[in-house]
Amino acid sequence: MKNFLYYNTKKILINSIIHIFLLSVVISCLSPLLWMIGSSLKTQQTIFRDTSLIPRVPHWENYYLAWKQGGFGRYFLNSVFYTASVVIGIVLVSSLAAYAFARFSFPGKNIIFYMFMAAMMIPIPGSFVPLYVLLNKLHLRNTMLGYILCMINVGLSTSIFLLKTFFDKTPKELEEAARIDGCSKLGIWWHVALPLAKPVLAVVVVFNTLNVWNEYVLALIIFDSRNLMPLQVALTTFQGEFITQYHLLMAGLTITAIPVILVYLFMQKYIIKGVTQGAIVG
Amino acid sequence: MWNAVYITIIALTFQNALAFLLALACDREIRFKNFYRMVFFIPPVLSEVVVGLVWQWILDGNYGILNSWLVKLGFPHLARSWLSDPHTALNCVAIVHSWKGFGWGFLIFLAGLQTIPRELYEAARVDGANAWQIFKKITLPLMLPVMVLVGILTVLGTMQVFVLIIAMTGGGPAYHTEVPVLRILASMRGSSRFGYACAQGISFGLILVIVSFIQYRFSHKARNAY
Repeated sequence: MKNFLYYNTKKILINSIIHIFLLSVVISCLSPLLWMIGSSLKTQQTIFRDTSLIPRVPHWENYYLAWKQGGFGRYFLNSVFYTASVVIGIVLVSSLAAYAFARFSFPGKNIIFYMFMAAMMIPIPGSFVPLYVLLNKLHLRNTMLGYILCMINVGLSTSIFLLKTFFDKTPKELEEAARIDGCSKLGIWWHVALPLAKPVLAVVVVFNTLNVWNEYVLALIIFDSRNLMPLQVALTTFQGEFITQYHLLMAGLTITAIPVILVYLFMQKYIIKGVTQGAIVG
Repeated sequence: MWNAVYITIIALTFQNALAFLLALACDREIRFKNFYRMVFFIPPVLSEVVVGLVWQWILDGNYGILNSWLVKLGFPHLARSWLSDPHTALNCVAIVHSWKGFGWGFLIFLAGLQTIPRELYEAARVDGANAWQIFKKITLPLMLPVMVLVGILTVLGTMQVFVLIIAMTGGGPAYHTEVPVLRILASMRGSSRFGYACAQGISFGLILVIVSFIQYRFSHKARNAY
């Protein structure tokens, strides 16, 4: 009995130490975000003096000001537009390509596939200078189309890899049945392969959404005009121009961060799956 | 270049040690496990611009919350302008980078730990092994490939860090936090020397590939030794 008691107290002690450790990390994860939201609700006068986490009088109109005056409304819509079109493009191209790689045999198939995989190895710093020159020559620099094409290209390799491994594992019988019923190759892809691949497609969509939303480098080198910029680049230019308006900057940051956090909270399952699978790819 | 290496070393040791400890702590029957896992991955999903700007505001010399807390807690001599002081700027950037990055390592470590069959632990316990022996003889060798993987990912990710730095310090004070990618961008946009920038980019890319290749070979040897 005494022994049992000893083990029990020891276990509780260890568990509470672990909980304290984990909780302290949790606090360090969340407090900067709370501070960001808190600061966004202060005014120009109180933001420098009031260091409390939650301001006594919340100023919600900051969000309106940032949306209108700071122009975050425009940048927000830009980001939404880029994200949506890039993700749609990636899903279309990568699912078609992955399906072809998995099902058809054509000359040079392996070489092309390995070229896609090799593209994953090239670090971005090595490629953005030539990319800039290329876009300049094609007159696509400082256009929405140029940025969207580049971003589709960035996301392709990983998406193709994920989808191809999935198609390789799914049985062919269903598709053969569809072919006997008179379905064309494209029809099979649309009616059979894509619906089957929904779980993987979800990973692809969620991952690329986050990726495009958070992208910065390419947007920085491609866009010159302000009204084309996505949120991330707009934030850094905002910081340079309105150096003193910290409350509006914080409101803008919150506007940028909230969609990502929402997507993350609702799509957590897919994100965690994607991280662990993507790690195996890398 | 050395700045990036410095940040990488801090990220490799500090960030991954933290991630591994957290993963070990979560890899057991413990309450709120999913809650912890959810929170730890919030910093990685945020964009580097957001993270950088928020931390810049926290570490601000005159109005930042860190300094005001230090004063309140009775350490006014520790308060300083963290990001414009050459002695602390690089460390601050490295710590913020680790703050943002440990969630990745945590998730991958946790996934790795969960693939270790429970029977191994039970067999060891029946044979009378204590916790430390189990950790050293079972967990560590089986986790080695995962560790190498996280290591490579950390090195590749950290050597290319620069958005965070643009948002936090812009390479200053006086180039104390400048990193290779920032230099490439500067020679491209600042002085329009495209050939030079491209050469810098390619040589930097080659260095990255070589580093990850060496790490991979090293891990192969280590795995064969067990």
